[in-house]
Amino acid sequence: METIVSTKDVWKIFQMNGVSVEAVRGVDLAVEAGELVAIVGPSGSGKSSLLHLLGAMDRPSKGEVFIAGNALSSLNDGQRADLRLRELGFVFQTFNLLPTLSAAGNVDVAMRLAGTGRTNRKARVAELLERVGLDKRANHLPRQLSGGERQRVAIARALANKPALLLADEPTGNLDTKTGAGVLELVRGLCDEDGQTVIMVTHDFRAASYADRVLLLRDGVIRGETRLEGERDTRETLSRLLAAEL
Amino acid sequence: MWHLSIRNIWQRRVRSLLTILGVAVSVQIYLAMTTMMSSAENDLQDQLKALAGKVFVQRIMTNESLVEDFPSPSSSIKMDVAQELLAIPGIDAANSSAILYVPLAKPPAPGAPPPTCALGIEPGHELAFLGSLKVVAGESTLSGPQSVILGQGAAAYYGRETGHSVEVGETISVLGETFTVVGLLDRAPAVHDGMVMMELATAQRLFDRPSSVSAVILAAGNIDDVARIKSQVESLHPDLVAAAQEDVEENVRAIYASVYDLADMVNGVAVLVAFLFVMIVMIIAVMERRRDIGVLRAIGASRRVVFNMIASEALLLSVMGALLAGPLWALIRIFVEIGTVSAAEVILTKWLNISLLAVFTGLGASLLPAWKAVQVDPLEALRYE
Repeated sequence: METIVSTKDVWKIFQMNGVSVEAVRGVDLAVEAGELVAIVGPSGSGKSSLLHLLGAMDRPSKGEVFIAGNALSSLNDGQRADLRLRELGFVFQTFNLLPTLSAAGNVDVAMRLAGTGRTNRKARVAELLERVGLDKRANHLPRQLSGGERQRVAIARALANKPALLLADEPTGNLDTKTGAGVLELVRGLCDEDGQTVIMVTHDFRAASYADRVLLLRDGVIRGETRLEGERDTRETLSRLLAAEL
Repeated sequence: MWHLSIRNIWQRRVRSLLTILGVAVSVQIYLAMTTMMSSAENDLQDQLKALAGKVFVQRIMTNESLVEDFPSPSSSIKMDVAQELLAIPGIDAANSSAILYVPLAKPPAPGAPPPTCALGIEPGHELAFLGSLKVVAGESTLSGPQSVILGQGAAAYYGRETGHSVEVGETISVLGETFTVVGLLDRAPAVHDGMVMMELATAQRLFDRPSSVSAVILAAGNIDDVARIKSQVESLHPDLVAAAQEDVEENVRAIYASVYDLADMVNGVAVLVAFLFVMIVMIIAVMERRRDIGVLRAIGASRRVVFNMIASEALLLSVMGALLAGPLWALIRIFVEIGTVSAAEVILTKWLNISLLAVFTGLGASLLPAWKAVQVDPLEALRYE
């Protein structure tokens, strides 16, 4: 299997009021193509910091991150932006859609940035909105959409440039249980049907249960790892991870 | 990313409209100042053209200037001296004349020309003083001792009691004597506008100055003789001052220089106001859209793209302001007359220049906001969402 993203002894140390805070401490991981990996952990465990390192939005203090064969430390700001544009897709907890653009416009903007031609963009927008079940809501502004619909638009935007890796930061954090389940089903479907590689950080074990593999992060260190192999039993997942940590 | 800039402008319609109006007002100020200066320059050019090939002679008091005070009411030249000057070889007699100038009303302010004045000139030599000024009604030559040619200001002055300007064929009364109006001049600079032109002999009798005049206008038969005639006048009568077109132009330019400087300063302030207006609005826009900019950066927009997005938004606001200023200006010109420059002249030349200036102003004003936008760290922007 092809490795889409990997890290080698990655550290992230912040300086806060003269005090060093080690958010990520020597993480080694590798994610294969088509995998859905959940990184779970309590608040302050370093999940988001690790996700930002994997998403080329932040530079590690030490160690190296490889994405689609690129060592991030060798890339300048412009190259990292280009990598984010073409190889990575982001889904945020608060959706982060551009409020002035419609659902279709939000999906379209990512392809405009990539320089995709008008005809191809139009076809891809229609395809993606249909894929996330929003083809009838294409011209609605974000404020006219529900939370679940906004998150689906965000997913469609993230997929616009056919990224090698989709990064989701608490994708169901702002959604009710039923809507959240719908979004997670969609993400699961992307992996199963399209072979999309996904890394999702969450503190919700129910969300993590949709993953192929769950990594438990605590105090910036991966404490345990469980491969779910298709099962969807949250309590079982939780007990395995707790056992791994212990 | 023009479409994002247009979207942002459209989504914040009220602010965008106010910004555009602010730019348009600045452009209006610029247009008004430019028009006034163009008008003044046109008048000046007309006056200078009329002076070409002529030498102006009068006696100057110590606190007077030949240019600002021509003709001077206090100047007095004996008639025989005037005749001597008019007999200098090389003079074009038909376009030369002695003149007598007497104010007929008090000036509205110190230093300002009187609202009306008598101008005595030798019959048949009217063009010596009128130069290229057009007559809009009647004749440009006097038809007898009791005939007069009026400037527009004088026509309005003598018609003030009836509420309408005096017209050709009507009569006016000067010092109790009745005169018939035979010609009416076009709008003209100060002295010409208030002028009641009459025969020199009539003016000398009327104002009891039978053997003196105020000044002498000498037209050279050959333009190359101007300098010689001028120096001959000065050598014959060192107590008189003679000036040619170059002297007048030099003096007038010096007088106008401070006015031009003031106009340039007002124009500079107008540009600066537009610059600050656009810059402040764009800085606020960047502060408000920090998160959106962070999102764009996170999904792969380069710093260049973000810079261009902000710059193009500022540019659009400035250009729209400049474009709106054109029709607004045309509308204003329907109601307000500024100088003698036509609206079309301003629209076609100045407006294009100012639009170009607006482009550079918009781009200049966008630099700081755009720089602030590219400094937005996507992580910081999204972390505090």
